[in-house]
Amino acid sequence: MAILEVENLSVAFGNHYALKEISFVVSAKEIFTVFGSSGCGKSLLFSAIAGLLTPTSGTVRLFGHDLHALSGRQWTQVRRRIGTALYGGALLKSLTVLENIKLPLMEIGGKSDEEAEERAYWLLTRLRLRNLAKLTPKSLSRGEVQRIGLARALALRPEILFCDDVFAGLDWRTREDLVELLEELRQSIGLTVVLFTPLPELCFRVADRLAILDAGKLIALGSPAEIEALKDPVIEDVFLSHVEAMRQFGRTLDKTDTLGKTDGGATP
Amino acid sequence: MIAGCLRLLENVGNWLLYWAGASYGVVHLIGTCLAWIIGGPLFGRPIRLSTISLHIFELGLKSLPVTILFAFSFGLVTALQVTVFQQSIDYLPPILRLVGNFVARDQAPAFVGILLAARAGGAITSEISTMVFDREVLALRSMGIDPLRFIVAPALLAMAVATPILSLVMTAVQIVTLALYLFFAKGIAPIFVIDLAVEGISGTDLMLNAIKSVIFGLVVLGISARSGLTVVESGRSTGSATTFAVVASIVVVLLINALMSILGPE
Repeated sequence: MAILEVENLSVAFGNHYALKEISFVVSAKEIFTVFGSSGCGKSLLFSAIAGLLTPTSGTVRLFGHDLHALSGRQWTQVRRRIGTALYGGALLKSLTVLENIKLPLMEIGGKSDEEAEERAYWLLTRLRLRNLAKLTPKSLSRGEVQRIGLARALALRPEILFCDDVFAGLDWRTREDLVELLEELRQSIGLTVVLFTPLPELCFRVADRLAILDAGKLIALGSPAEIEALKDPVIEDVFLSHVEAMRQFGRTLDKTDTLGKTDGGATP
Repeated sequence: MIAGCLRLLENVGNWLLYWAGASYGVVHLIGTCLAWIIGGPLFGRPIRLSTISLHIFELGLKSLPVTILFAFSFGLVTALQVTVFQQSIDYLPPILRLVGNFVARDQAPAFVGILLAARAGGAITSEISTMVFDREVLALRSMGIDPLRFIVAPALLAMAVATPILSLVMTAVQIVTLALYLFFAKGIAPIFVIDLAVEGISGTDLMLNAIKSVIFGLVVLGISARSGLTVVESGRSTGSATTFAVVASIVVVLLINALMSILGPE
């Protein structure tokens, strides 16, 4: 069942098209990744799909609703079913970790302070972050901030989670932790995940299907195996060459690990 | 020649359009914040009252020392002017009444506006633009929370509370400084000076003092907050956005002060 349908989505600034006629469908319980290098329009696509930007043309249908034709009240209803995790966690620095997670619960979810606190503590415990509840984001590591950002996005038990480059700048272990968490959530609560990332190896690691963006255009769509089988020189240049480079880098790391020369595992 | 004139006309037109857009943006921001402050509780979405005391401390109380210093300095200068022009004791009462009136009605609110533009305005622009760069504002929007309600409206309310108090403090400190100087320099009883200066201040003047200072506070906050929120789309860095906000706030405060002095009640 399609949960998200993007049809001929374009975003233009004057005469320049930053996104041109993007179309794809995301099914329920799917992990769908949108891959593209910096400046290809990933964040714009994320903003348009998450309802933060009105596209120049085209439609985004989420749970069957045209996202950009909803009234304020309808949008609030739909928003309760969406989780948004942003690059760098984007926690509010004036609030504690606990207050950050309580915020969507009280503001959108209409929960009381006690209910929100109970749910926030449950989430923090589940993500093994309970000991950080009273701290402010300034005193946390990047990985912790990113995980708390994810916890905040999951606070309202969303049906679909949009993640904008949430793995950027994280070490290998933290990245693996997050990937496992997403897969676990998909298994346990049937969460649909749309992941925007410039990391090609991650697409192969987690995606059921992926879309490749280049200069604002969708150049490939399919499962990782289907994309690898395309043998298209453009896709080879934009995507597969990076994947191969990462695999080789991984093999080098494995060797150095075996020889005990490094503490191992860190990818750039 | 004609091409040059047309280019000049185009530049002037663009400049006017830019300022019209920016002015509308500031008025819209202030209006939206006021709507959240007043209407928010009615729709179950009040502003964060817990942060207002913090804002009053940050925007108001922290500006108090510099306000007192400013008032003391100008009180001293005014006292020197009074002693230079005062030839006989007969002229002192009207001069003191005039000084009291001028300070309460025009000078104190304008100075408080300028001080807040420099001290609090810059801080607000810098803080909000940092929140924009750190995606905190985007995070609020993605959760369906209006950043104006969450970040700006509490600061606006705090500013509206703090500015009239700062303006009254500035008026009082200037008059007391004047009285103390005249006591030490000329041996005139301070109570006599204060009495005469206060005599020159009517209820209308005090009301104007409060109204002006509240308006200046709102304008400074509106310009600073908008400058911070639009830092990405305006293509400015945090530094240049802060400079712009401070300069624009000072210019607008001076313009409104002049306009209100001309159009205000006698």
